[in-house]
Amino acid sequence: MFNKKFSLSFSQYVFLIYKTQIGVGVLTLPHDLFVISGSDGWIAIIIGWMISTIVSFLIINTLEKNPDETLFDLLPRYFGKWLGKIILVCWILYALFAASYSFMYTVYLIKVWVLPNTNPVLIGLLFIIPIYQITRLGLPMISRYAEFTFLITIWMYPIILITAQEGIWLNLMPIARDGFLPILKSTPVTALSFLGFEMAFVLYPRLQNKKKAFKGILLANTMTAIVLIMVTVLSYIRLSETELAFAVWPTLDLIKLVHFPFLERLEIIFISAYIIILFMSVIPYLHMALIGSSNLFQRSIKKPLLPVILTIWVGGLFFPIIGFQPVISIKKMLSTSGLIFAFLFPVVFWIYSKVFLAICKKGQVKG
Amino acid sequence: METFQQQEDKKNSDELLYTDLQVNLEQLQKRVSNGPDLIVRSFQTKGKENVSLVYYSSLVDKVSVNDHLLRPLMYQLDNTSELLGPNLSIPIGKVTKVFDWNDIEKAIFQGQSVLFIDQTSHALIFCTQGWPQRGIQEPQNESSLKGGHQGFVETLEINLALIRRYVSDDNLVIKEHSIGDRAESKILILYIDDVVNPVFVQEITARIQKVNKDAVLDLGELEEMIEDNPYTIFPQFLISERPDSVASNLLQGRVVLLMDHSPNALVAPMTLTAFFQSQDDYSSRWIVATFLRLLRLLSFFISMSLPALYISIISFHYELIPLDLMLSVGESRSKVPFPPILEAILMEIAIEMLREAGLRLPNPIGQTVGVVGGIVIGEAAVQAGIVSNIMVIVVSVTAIAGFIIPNYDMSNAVRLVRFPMMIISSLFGIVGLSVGLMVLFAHLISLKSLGVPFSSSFAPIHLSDWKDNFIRTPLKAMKKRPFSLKAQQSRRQGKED
Repeated sequence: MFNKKFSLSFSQYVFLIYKTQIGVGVLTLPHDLFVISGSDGWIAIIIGWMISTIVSFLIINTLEKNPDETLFDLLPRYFGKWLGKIILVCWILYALFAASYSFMYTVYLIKVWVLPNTNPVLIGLLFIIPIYQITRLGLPMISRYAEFTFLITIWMYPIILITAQEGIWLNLMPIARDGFLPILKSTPVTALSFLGFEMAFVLYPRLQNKKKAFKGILLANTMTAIVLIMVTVLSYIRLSETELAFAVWPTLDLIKLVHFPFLERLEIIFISAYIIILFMSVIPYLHMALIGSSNLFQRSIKKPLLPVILTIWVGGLFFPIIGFQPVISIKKMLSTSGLIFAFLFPVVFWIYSKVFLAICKKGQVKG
Repeated sequence: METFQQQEDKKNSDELLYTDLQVNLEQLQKRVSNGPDLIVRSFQTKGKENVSLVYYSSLVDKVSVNDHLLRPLMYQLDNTSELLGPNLSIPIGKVTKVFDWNDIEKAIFQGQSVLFIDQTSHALIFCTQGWPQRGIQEPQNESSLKGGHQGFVETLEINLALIRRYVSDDNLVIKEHSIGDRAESKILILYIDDVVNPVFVQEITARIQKVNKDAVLDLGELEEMIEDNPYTIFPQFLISERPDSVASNLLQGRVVLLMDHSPNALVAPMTLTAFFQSQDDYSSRWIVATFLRLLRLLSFFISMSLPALYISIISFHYELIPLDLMLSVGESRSKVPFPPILEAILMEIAIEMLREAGLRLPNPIGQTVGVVGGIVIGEAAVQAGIVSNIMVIVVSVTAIAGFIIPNYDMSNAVRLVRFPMMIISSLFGIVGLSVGLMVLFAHLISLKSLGVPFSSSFAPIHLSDWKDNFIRTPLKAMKKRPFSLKAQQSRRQGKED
């Protein structure tokens, strides 16, 4: 608090990862899973949860050796100056890509569901205000905002749960009707929804109590998995098969079913409030990209870089990249790059670091 | 060329008193403005010493000067040196011996009396202050039903006394500072030594010492000069006129500033949620107090966003509300020629004007303003088709919600936030409202009060503080001081674990 280097509390760490994970994926996941594995999609989430937890464990395990350094500090040391820099640039691009996609997605979502007659550029202009305001102030602000986001959106869980009332649970039966192959096939689809735990690569050094690092990431993953399973199962028991097969946003269709005597079209309010959650996945990735580039140039370039990125985002909205087809195809790209960076890279990095450290030790003994 | 040291010596010798009484008095005329209320009383004491007593008749207590100073000097005292001796023979509490003109000037302007004595190089200063003061009254801005009814007044000593009556702890530390080059004002920093986080004391002392202004007339002015962010509309320190609430804040581990001639106390550091507490909460039933706190929280949101919500529903998402309600809204709006945003701003401005007008007027006229405004806006404007019925209801509910917030500064801040909210939601509908609230809360979260996160207890979350924030649990459960204050002694009830 007082001029000390800011350190993350446990709850901030958990909420930051959890809120990064909950974002774009939740809205479409039931549909994406249904297309591949039918009503068994929710089992794929459990497998996805296990895989992300294992990968998270590897991330923490790798970082434990150097508790005060982020991934970006480690890269040049482990991979040498040039290769390290190349990987660093890839990471920056990945984080920037994830942030940009979430941003574009938010604009598109609002455009489709709430403000069909408003120019997307204007919506983009509106959205960069809070994003700039929060990202500018760095991690202390972002982590506090993540906690606030959790508190202010807590009402969404009961709203979603209300829909269970008239659900037909038999829709889930029989379990694994086509065998386990489709379930395994659909597991990579869940990756997109779990993306966010790789944030630990930059958060871990700032965490106050490092012993709880894995516990925190496990908690975040589990919370995410619960939300995903909840949404998926509820969609399967409430929505018809045709709906699930063709509607892109089953989660929102689900909320559409909720009616109050004083309120119709609840989903409009829901989506308007949901943008705060979507921003909470834009902002951490943006932050990650910014500190990555500060590492790249060896000095803080957040101040000039942040407005440039935001201007490019708004400028990008002049082009017709906001549309159904681009959103779907870019999502596939993000999903693939997420698999590479968040799932594959940590495993490779973990093995590499073990080997690297072993060689170093040997070298030291010899020398 | 004189060296710096020589200049300093010369300056110092200029500042010192002369031994000759006449020279001293001439010097005095030069230094102190010779207003009609400056009294220079020259006489011989009983011991045949030539002395002059100087004071401002407007600033001294005449009884004490005449009876307790002049009478003993003229008729009883043999020697002026006795005044400082152990057998102090005049009934005045504080007597000081000075050699320096600066001290003398300051003393005279503060309402003390100065005695110049012939053939000595010192003067004596007697504490004889007495100035016009107001009696202790019920606090105007923060009246309470159950708590004490004494409010601060414009005299520092009395305010200090009021606080001391609540906090009779020997660990209550009072430090004196003064600011203002031209018109000096005394400032007291109060804190409880073994409770407060020492960082707060250091920080606020440093900030006060940095103030460099010719005069600081009120605590509100000082607040702006020492707060963390002067560019926000949200108050970061509490300005209170209630000794009991100040005492309670002291005991929680906060620092309190008192300033001479300001009928307020400044409390730092504050958090957002602390602005929704009122001293009455602790003396009423806890269930009722909890209800009131939640009501305040609700009214905080209503007051900021109800007109904005109404505008966004009417102009963008009329499908949100059920058909029957929609029809009645439509009917009431059918005669109104303006778009909702214009209608809302018209009404809001009218009500703000009414409020300001009523505030500055004496009570009987103020009531007239209320009646005229109520009838004109409530009845005539609707009948004339300028505003709709529903809008009148929305605006009135909003105004009433604004009054529920117990702190005046906070309520004003919320009052102003309403306008940008209305504008943004007239442009983007409910998305605008939600982004507006995001920006607002991001701003609140970014604020700090004396280095403490202003949004403490909800961002960062401290669940233990919630017991006394959004709700008021039974006093038995509130065993700890607020976490955000990081007090040295965190437990205030029961044993330290």
